[in-house]
This record gives sequence, structure tokens and C-alpha cells, in this order.
Amino acid sequence: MGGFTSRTQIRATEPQRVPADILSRMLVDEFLPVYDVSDAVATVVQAEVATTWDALMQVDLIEVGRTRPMVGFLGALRALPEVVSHLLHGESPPQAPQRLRLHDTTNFPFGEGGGIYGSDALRFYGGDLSLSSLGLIEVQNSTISNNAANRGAGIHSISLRMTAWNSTFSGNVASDEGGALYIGGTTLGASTTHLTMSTIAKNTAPPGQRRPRGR
Amino acid sequence: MRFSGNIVDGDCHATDDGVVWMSQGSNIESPGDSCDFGESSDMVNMTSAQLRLDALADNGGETETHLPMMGSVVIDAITAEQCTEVLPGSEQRLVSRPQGIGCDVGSVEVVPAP
Repeated sequence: MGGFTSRTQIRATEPQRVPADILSRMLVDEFLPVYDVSDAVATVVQAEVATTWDALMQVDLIEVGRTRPMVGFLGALRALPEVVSHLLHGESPPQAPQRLRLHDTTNFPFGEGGGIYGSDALRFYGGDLSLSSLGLIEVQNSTISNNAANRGAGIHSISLRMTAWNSTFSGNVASDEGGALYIGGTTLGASTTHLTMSTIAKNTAPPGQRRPRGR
Repeated sequence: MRFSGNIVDGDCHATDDGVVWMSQGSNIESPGDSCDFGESSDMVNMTSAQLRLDALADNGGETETHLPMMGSVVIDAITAEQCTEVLPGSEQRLVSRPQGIGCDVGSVEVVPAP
């Protein structure tokens, strides 16, 4: 177990300024530029490593947030502009996931999303992985390499908005589709995926599994 | 899916007709032409000899990168003016863009030899 650390290289430098054309800046961005609320929970157990890992993968991060008022408050505050924006445009704001276990976000060794698997909300920012309720993946100044998965060995994004810039996707191997990236959910995910000034190289997916591109 | 200033050494595939690849310019695809990179500033069907990407390695910065080698088509393929519009500031390693007469396509900006 523990494939995430042994199979994956995800490192990055300090966050840069977000380009204005990617995310419009708001007042809250000055005070809470990213979902950087940290909270530590320590539990000492006497158990085998594998058992501990399995238990860790079942931790529901949404539930952890609910039991930590400050985390919940700051998370809600950060999400406020997005919610208001949707309401002003007559749209339903994105719903927070009901459950978000580590098991749901990483699936090794051959599942979906070798590097990053996003089923609802992930924000990957300068080397830190944090969670939001906005259905958003952000990758910047990062290298996502040498991951393996059935689909989306680098990133597997379903119905998420995804923005990646100044990043490298290399050596990711999919046994089905999407060596570097697998973007699903055309109504939201594919139409709101932006890839800017990035390098995608040496990723592989089996030719026999590929389907023609729809034009 | 929108692309700006990327290197795609591989190809793009959609699993249904609803997926739209939208180039916003300055992308390079090798070896084929599968990502609908149709803007005048895009380059497709590039050979690996034209792309000349080095292997993933430590080229400075916090992360490993694919450094374009001398003579690569990605070097200075974006005018400085276009580069400012696409993504101002620095590249993946935090080297400032541009270096030379324009910006390099992809996540790395090659620093010219003094």
C-alpha cells in the first residue's frame, strides 16, 4: 500500500499569481487566496501499517471539516464569491460533495486517476492538495509523472473545472484511456478545462483502446 | 477543452462527439494533428527531431521538466507580445519569460547561453 508516495511524483514550487484571465480576482482572494486552512488531527493506534493505511483511506474529509468549525467557516467564506456569482447568473451553485474519502481521491495501483483523481472537488496548488466544494482542479508549476491507472494516469477529472498551467505531464501510463489526462463529463468538465503553457510528453495509452475523436 | 501555448507530444482523443478541442493559439503537437490546433500560431505534425525535447530531468527549480534542446521548434515560437497575453510572469521553474526574442511553448523557458 502507500502507492501514492512511491509511484507518484507531484512536487511544485510556491504558488504564483493566478493569471487574471483564468480566475477573476475578488476581495476574498486577497485574504484567502487559496484553500489553505490547515487543521491537524492526530490519532495514535497500534496496528499494522496496511491496516492503518486502509483506515486512513476511509477518513471522510468532509466529516472532518464539519467537526472543525473554523475550517468549515473559512471554507464557506472562500466559496462565497462562487456561490454568489452563480446565483447572480441564475444558476444553481455547485453542491458540496456528500463524502470525500482519500479512497475517493486516489485509487492505486490501477484504477482511475493515477496522479490526481477528481470526482468532485480537488485543488492542487503549489504542491499542496486541498479540498474545496467548487468542483475545481488547479495545477500550476507542477510535474505529474510516472503514474499508472486505467484511465487518466496523470489526472482523471469528471465533471470538474480544471485549470493547469506551467506544468509537466510526463511518463504517465494508462491501461485504457488518457495517459496524461482523462477529462470526462462534457457538460462541465471538458468545456471548462484550460491547459496553458504546459508540456505533455512521453505519456502512453494502448493504441487499441483509443477511439476516434469526434469532430 | 482550451489550449494555449502547450506542447502535446502525443495525441488527443475524445470518447464522444460532445468534446470540443479549442485552440487559443501557440500550441505545438507532435507527431500528428489530433487536437484541432488550427490557429495560425499553432504548429502540428512536428517530428520528434523538430520538437527536440530532452528527457524528464532536473533542470533546476523544484520539479523535473522536459527541456527543449537547441534547435527545437518550441524555442521563441511565441512572440513576446503574445506571451504577455497568454501567461505573464515566469515558467514552471520560475525562470522569467521571455528569454531571448520570444517565449518558448510549453512549461519551460530555455535560457540562452551567454
